[in-house]
Amino acid sequence: MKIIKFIVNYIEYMIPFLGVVLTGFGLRLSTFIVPIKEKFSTDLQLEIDLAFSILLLYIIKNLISFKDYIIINTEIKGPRTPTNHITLEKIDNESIMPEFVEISIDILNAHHIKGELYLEIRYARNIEIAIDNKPNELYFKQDHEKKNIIISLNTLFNFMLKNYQRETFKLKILSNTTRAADSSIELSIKSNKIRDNLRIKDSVEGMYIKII
Amino acid sequence: MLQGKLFVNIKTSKIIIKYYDYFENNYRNMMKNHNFEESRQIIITTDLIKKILSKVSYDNNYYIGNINFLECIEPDEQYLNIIDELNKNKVVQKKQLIKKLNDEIAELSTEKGNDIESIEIICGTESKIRLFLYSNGIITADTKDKNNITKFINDILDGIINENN
Repeated sequence: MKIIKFIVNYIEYMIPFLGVVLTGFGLRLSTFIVPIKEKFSTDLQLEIDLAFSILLLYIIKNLISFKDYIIINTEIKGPRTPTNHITLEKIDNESIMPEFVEISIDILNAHHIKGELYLEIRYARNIEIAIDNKPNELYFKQDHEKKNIIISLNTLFNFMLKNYQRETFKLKILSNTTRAADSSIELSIKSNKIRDNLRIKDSVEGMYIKII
Repeated sequence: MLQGKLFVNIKTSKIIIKYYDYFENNYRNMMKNHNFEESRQIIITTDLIKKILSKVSYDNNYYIGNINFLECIEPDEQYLNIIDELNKNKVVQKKQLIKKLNDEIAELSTEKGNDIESIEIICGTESKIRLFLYSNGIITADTKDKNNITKFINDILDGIINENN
């Protein structure tokens, strides 16, 4: 993206030069509009042709110019291995302590965000989870019936900033079942404004849990 | 000695204690028969422990006993010195001490990755009772008096472990 942006910016400075070259190669307004050729002097025709070529290139450049997208990346990882798989022990006579996973959220170009942005954490019914080491400013709502947690990212990040920001916190997990089973935690990003152009990098991650 | 597990009713947010006999291996059966759609397990996070310790510090009927960590390597004893001071100090200095203790716990939990396994709270009224509260929501107490446990829950834990975010 940085390279493309550099090229686009570089071309911008070359537009007048390219306009002259294109006119020389025959891109002339006077060829399409006959009265220009008939009623204006050769010098004036050339000036009109040059102005037209340069204007046309500026219009094309603006149409294809690249916008800074909001880039959000979320990752959910086990504590010991950098993967999105963890193993949880089923309920047995020896009570077990909660396992934990780490969630990190990266955001770039947040200054484009117009409204509220949320991270939704959905989890399966056969596990119980709780947020730990919560950043002081973080606001979230956990719905124990729907089994989800909605985090307001506006409380976690400064949406005025363009630069890269990162936040990390823990989720503690306990099994709700006495049987071996599969389980999962899924993350998704939601916006309350359609015009927030979201580009979710590498898609939003999920955590696969094996209860043994 | 009593062992119990804390649950919270999903609809009413009321705390429920279910007792079980550890020596009879009743934990699994108790959990197997539990309706998880009705009430959920409680995970005592580091954030909740901080709130509990803060509340205990301001209640003259209770004292902080010990804090046990999951890792075998014991952390430095700075937090123990703070607890000692907290238990004997006057209210005016408590705010600063609680902040110090919270910072110490947060550092151990986040930067050093050593989570809290349990906290011990001592009820100082009449006969002393020791209560252990584990991070998986299990409580153990050196009493058979369930009323005392209920009082402890109402005094210290209600409004913290079942608070609405």
